[in-house]
Amino acid sequence: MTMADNIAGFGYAAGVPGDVRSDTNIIEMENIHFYGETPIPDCPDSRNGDFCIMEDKYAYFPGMHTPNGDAMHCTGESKFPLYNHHANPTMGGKTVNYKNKFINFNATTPYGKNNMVFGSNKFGSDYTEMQEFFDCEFINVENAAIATLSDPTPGWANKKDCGSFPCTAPWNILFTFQGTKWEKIVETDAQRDWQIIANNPGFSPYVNGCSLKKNWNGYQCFVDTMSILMFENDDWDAIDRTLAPIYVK
Amino acid sequence: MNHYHWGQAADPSPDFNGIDIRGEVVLLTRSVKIVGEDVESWGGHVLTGDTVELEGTEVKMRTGHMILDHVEVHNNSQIDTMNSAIRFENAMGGYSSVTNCTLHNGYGWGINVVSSANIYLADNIVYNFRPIGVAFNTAKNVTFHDNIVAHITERLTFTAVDNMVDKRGAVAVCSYFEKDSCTDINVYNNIAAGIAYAGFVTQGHDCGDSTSMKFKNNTAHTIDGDVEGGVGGYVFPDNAKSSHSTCFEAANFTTYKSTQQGVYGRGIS
Repeated sequence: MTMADNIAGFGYAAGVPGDVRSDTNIIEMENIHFYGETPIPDCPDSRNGDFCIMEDKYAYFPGMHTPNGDAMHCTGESKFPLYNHHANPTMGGKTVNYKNKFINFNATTPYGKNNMVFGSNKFGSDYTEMQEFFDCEFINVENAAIATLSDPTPGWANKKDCGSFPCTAPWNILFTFQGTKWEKIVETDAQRDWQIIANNPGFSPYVNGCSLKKNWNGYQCFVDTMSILMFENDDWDAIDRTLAPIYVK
Repeated sequence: MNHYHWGQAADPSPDFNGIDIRGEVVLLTRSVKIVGEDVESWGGHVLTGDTVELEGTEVKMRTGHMILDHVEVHNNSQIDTMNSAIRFENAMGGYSSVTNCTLHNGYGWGINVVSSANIYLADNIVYNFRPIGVAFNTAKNVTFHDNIVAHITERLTFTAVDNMVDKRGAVAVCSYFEKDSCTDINVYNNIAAGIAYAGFVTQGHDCGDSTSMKFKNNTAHTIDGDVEGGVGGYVFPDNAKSSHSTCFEAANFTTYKSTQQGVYGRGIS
């Protein structure tokens, strides 16, 4: 596949049979060429009724596995955009990328908007599954264009239950890369094996091997043991209860 | 030209994995024409279907069969209906082909294949219809290749309850009705350009089947929509394939200038 100059990259909602909370479900993406901007302008001349669409752009949004997806020809206004899933994600989702190429990304468009390889799913409040990349290539990609990650949206907080503590999926993301190749723009920290984690103030600054990338609102890491730890409350009222005891041995 | 189209003398395809992103230029006129009237947005439409007739006491089966080549179909299709410019409905017994034709400027759908089979659609231009360009519903053995479907826009007459959105898109393969089932539909080498909602809404193929022509080498670009933009391709599992409940695949698709996803995938629901 080839994808160029789209606003929200690649997305998916994988309807999941069985135990939606824990079954393993996999998305694989292979040999996709993601390009940054094309020469086609976003806003050629809005004075004569032509299109003029100046938005932040992301080549790749982490998707989610959820129990449902929108209808093929979605008719509910509240269902849009399509990657807004309106459901809890399954915890068994997994996304694996093989030999994808990210080509020609400058950090901003000519109109001053973001032009990034990776972004955050702004509707992913509960869980963003780990994104794995094997043997992918970054060709002529500015370092500042690799990612702009979002913090949790304050509006997600249910103040009655949790005070000002919103759901924290955006702070628990993990992008992990192995066998990466870099061409044309090769920074000193352009390594084969590396990771991206969010700018999680309670965690990221304390991980040895990670350093803050302000432009990304995230950390670049060289810690190949990085993973996501999940545990599930099996109580009957797990979805509703405010607090759950956790015992880590 | 009324609106902006990007172009340049040099072929940009080497910079974009072989994809020529220059605006398409096509000829809409043909010497042989089927021209409908534009009376209250209610044009003609060309319908092919099988029928049953009574001749005395004898029941006779009439098989619908149409061959169109290098024909211009203008001012056809009827607003706010599925009566497209060219429609196949219950045409199961024979075969038909539409090749090298142009279908342009109608207020309804471009092509609608409903409960029909054995139809070959190639090298056609489908231009300026709304809100669906080409649809295959409960269809069998349909090949759709090397066509350009362009300028498929929002209906201006769509009225519904609050917060309801119209069904739109350039090429809708067994997607307009949920749970529809189609067999042997091949969609390849087509372009969808300047589209509301989605360039292609289509089924994926079997995992690992690199020879499938079910959805291959298609391109969607310049996709937008009134509600939160548009996607180049929306791919979903084939209802007729039980194996798609566990794995399906999409490949060899190109999309650029979509105001949402380049590709959006949905699993079973």
